Amino acid sequence: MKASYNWLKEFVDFDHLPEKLAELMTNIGLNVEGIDEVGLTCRDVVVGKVLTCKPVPKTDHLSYCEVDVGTGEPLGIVCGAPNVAEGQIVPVALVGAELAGGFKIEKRKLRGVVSTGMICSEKELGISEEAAGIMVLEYSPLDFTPIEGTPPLVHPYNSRGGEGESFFKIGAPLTDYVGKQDWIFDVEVTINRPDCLSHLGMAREISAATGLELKMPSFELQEDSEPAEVKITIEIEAPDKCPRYSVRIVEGVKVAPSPLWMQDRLRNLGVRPISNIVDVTNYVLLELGHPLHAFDYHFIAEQKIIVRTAEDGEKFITLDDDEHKLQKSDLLIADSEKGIALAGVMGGLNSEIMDDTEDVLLECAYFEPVGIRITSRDRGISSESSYRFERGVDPEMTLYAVDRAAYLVHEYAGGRVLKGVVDNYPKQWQSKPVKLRTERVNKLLATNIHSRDIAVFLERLGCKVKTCETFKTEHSLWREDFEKLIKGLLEMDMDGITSLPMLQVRWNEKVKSGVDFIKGDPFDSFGDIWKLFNKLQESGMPESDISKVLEKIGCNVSFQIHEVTPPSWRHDLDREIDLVEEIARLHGYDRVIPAASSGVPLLFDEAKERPRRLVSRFKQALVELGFREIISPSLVPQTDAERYPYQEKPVKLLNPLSEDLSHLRIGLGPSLLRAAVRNLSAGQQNIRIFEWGKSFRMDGGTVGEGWRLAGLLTGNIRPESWIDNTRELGFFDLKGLIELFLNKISLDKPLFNPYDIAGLSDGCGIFVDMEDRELRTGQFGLLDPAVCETFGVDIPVWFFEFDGDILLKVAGAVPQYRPLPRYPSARRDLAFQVDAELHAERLEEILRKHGGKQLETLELFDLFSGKGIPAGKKSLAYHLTFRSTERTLSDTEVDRWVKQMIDGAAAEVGAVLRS
Amino acid sequence: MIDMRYFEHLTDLLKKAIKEVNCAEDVEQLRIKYLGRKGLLSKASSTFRLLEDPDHRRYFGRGFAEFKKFATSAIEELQEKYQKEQHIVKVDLTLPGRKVFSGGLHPLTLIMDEIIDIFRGMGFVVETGPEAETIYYNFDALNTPHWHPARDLTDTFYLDLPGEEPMSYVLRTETSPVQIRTMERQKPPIRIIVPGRTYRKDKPDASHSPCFMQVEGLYVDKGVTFADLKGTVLAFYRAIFGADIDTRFRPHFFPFTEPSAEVDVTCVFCRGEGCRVCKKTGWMEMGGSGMVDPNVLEGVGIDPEIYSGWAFGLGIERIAMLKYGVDDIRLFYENDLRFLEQF
Ligand SMILES: [Zn+2]
Repeated sequence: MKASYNWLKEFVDFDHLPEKLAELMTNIGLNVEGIDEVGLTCRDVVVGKVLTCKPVPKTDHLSYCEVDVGTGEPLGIVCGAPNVAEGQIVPVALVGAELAGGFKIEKRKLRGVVSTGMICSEKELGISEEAAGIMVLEYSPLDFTPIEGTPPLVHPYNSRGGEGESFFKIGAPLTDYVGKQDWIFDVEVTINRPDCLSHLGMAREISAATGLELKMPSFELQEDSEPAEVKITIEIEAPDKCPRYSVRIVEGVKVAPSPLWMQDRLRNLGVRPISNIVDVTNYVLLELGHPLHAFDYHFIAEQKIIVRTAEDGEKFITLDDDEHKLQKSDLLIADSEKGIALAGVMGGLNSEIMDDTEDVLLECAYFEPVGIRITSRDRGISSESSYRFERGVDPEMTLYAVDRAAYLVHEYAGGRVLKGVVDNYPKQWQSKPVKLRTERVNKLLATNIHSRDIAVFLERLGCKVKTCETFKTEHSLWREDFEKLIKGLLEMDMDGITSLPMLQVRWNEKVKSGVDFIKGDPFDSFGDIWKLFNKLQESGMPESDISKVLEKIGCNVSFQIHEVTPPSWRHDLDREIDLVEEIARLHGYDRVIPAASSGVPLLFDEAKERPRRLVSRFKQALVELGFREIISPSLVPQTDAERYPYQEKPVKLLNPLSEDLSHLRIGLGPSLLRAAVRNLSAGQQNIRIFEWGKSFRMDGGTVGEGWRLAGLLTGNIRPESWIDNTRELGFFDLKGLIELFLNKISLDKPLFNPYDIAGLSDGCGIFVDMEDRELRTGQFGLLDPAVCETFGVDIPVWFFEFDGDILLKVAGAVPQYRPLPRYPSARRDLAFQVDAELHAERLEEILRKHGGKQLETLELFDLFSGKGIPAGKKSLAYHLTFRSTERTLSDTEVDRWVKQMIDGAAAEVGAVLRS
Repeated sequence: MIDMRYFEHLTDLLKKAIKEVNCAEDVEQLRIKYLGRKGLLSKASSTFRLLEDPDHRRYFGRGFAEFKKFATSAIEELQEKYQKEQHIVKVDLTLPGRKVFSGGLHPLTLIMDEIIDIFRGMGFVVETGPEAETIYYNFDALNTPHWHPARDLTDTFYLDLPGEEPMSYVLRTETSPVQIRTMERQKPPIRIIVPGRTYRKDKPDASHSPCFMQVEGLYVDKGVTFADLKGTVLAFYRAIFGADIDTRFRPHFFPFTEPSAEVDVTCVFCRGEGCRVCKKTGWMEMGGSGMVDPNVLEGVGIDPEIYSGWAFGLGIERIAMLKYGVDDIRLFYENDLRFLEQF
């Protein structure tokens, strides 16, 4: 909300300059997000009176005026405005003055006539955008002839002066009347503090923080002798939705522009001035925070206002000329025939103030917040009124606010205020007292605020405070002792505790159940005793007896308890903690001294640490292999699920921002492809990226959520360089990287399982399985060109994706040390001719099986087919290393194992040894 | 007629020549003689083109290949041997080094890791939880009033789940649901931070993104105070932005906490002097904090008379933007390598 510095100062006489005030307000929770300086900065613009006004010869629009500016010697000023006339009171910029936009006034000669000054328009002064003519502060009675269709102009400033006597002092600085310097604060008012949505509300906070007195606007309302109640009756059919409805009637007003100072204020605060009546309601809203509505009294049928719920389907036209179809949940201000206002939200077109309105009915009501919120939301109307009503206004403010409005209407639009407020208040506001413990405040805040200061802070906020000291406790008790004491005590006969027998009876059923003793825990005197105290009180024991009981068991610390009744404008104070916050605010958050956490370091939880460490390791491993981490939005277009062959159903948003962000991603493939497209089109040739992120899918009726780790590669095996050539990535480059990655993250014994995988090219995809192929960990291969194409990629793209949750379970095996070899190894090379169809993995498996435990390594060094190898066959050549941990191996035993391998391979897959 | 032992002769010849090599120039001579454009191999290959008999072609071809392999590797070996000496004087060391692909972590990960490190040092444990949440954990348990605008369809993403009550699941708007889940599971003392993705229905622009990342902290124990909160938050911001950083706590409203505070830190650009970025205030808004509302504690079965706690939240992107001088939040999610490679 916008707030005026000058206006706040009318409520509280502070010394703070604007910046200092902003700081103070920010520190108590009224965050000032910006300060705007407004008003005329130039003091060389004064009030002048046009004495004579004659056309300048040989021009069609210039006039030569003699203007009295209070110096005794009239100034000669040439004026080009069409509306300048003799007798007017106008703003005059003297020679040397600097106007809005830096325009400097100099003595000038125009068509042979000397002009010493300038009569200004509102725009030239920087007051508004009005530039059609000069600003006229007061018309001459002679030249004033109303133009058809425009409202009759009454000059409000006259109302206080006598007949023929001007309100304006000729020669006085214009800023005495209009364009006064002010600072407009942009204040962030939190949703729980509707009472601060006015100058009064903010001023009250400033007063509470500074201790300076809060001054309410002083005015004396002159009432007519005719009572208002004979002119209007109010019937509230829905007291739950409208607990209070107050009105005043002002008869015989003249609708006209409101006084300049009021217009100024409204404009500065972002409200467009309309007419004196409407402006007054807006002014009081900004002043006191209570919304008001003005009806033209004559449009109210049968002198009766009925506050009722709307009929389903009832039509109503609001004053912005919008037709609404209402529902039962909407509250309507009506007369016997029709609705005249959508309660608390907006008035009706049928009863609004017109230029010729004479009698005005001012409404000031209290509407229940939830109803207004629903109507505002359902009808799609948000107004200054609904904004406040739906947050909660002060139900006790209606009389003061309607009086204030009636006074201002009377002051600036004339007429007579009928006697009395017609006030229907079926549901009285009740404030509920709240208990506040001084100790609680100081314990939570780690402060040492005195009980007396707490009461003072709360009183400044408008609370009623009753402080009492209740009982005393000692800290040195442990729970068991305490329990024992209480129990023993209850069995004893105690002098002077008259209510004890009753308490003994109730102990088991009520008190005990309320005090939850935890064996062995150190006794927290404060919280426990407070609970016990409450329970004893609940059991009907008088406070004096409770004190005695507690004294008997050695309790020595006083509880200072404030019984706090919040004011009618504070609906947010209904628990002790709410009051603690108030004390904290007024004491000052900045006065709480930062402390180190008082707790001991907590135990390290390996179960929680492990996944986080592993994820770091996954990422680090890929980074070492030259991958860049990306992070992409989890929100994706629906088309992803069509373009990418997922088996799962995607999760849909109910209220997406756009079609591009309407679903949750099932996997990371599309995200990575989009990133690839972006970078390819930016001219990147080599892309190696990965992402760790959540994936989502429909799982029954609800959401299945899991981690994924995926990566994408395209381009060359290494960057281009002058030293040597590079080449395009191939399958075994990817496989090598994956093997290295799995090794780096200590994945124990992954199994590669070639398969035709959806999304990957046939014959170019592999599943990574674990635990004898029971656990599918991930997959990698060449992305299906058809999929790539739908994302606009036409080059080979290599891709891998792992189930992150499974990786977290199976990765990170702890390495186990093996002693370093102490005996030399024996090496052999073997080449086999096998069926071309045979998987290398299979042959290797067989060779290892037959090689025995001394076979240390088995490494493929050549794959060959073609010349010298029969069709349908291939040759696989291996380096073998044998080693024993116990002795040096002899050639004969090595030869024996080699023979076993050769025979085994021959027997199982028909492998033929090539020399 | 072709002498099929031609290549055997050549091999013998070359072997002899190799023994006589003394310096790099000799190697070069040898290379020109055997492997050069007009060398012996080149000549042999033109001879090969003249052969017509397939048998001849096969024998000759094999001999040619074997010899070529031998000669190439032998000469390369020599080159390497003699070039070692040459490197010292002849190679232009100003030539650029060989490039390799350099990977890297995303800037948000770097910041997140840094934040986690700082809090772990202060005894916080990392907790995580689901991003698709029930309204119970995302709103109700966090004491969000039913009328609070955060619950509106205009502010929060709801999921369209045919099997569930309408509007019963959201994409979490903060990571605080994990705080509730933790408190339900674990007795105090609790000292956790919760990093993760969160979602709000904000149109993407330079300072908004519908998905973004947060870290929230929670500390619940006996005797936990507002002063601890201030101390911990101050220590954190000094760790991340520098020792000259100060914090300002000013009252605010959050349903989850009371008393609540918005945390401002010294503007990192002007160090508090006042500049354009901080609107001359010297402060920058960083995130919410406060004492955990008793309603929240009661809701998870922790007695607020015995225990108290505090919580705070902060935006990862915001910190990354301030720290790295990034002026558009969207850059973090566009994954342009030219951006990512800067970190
Ligand atoms: Zn700054």
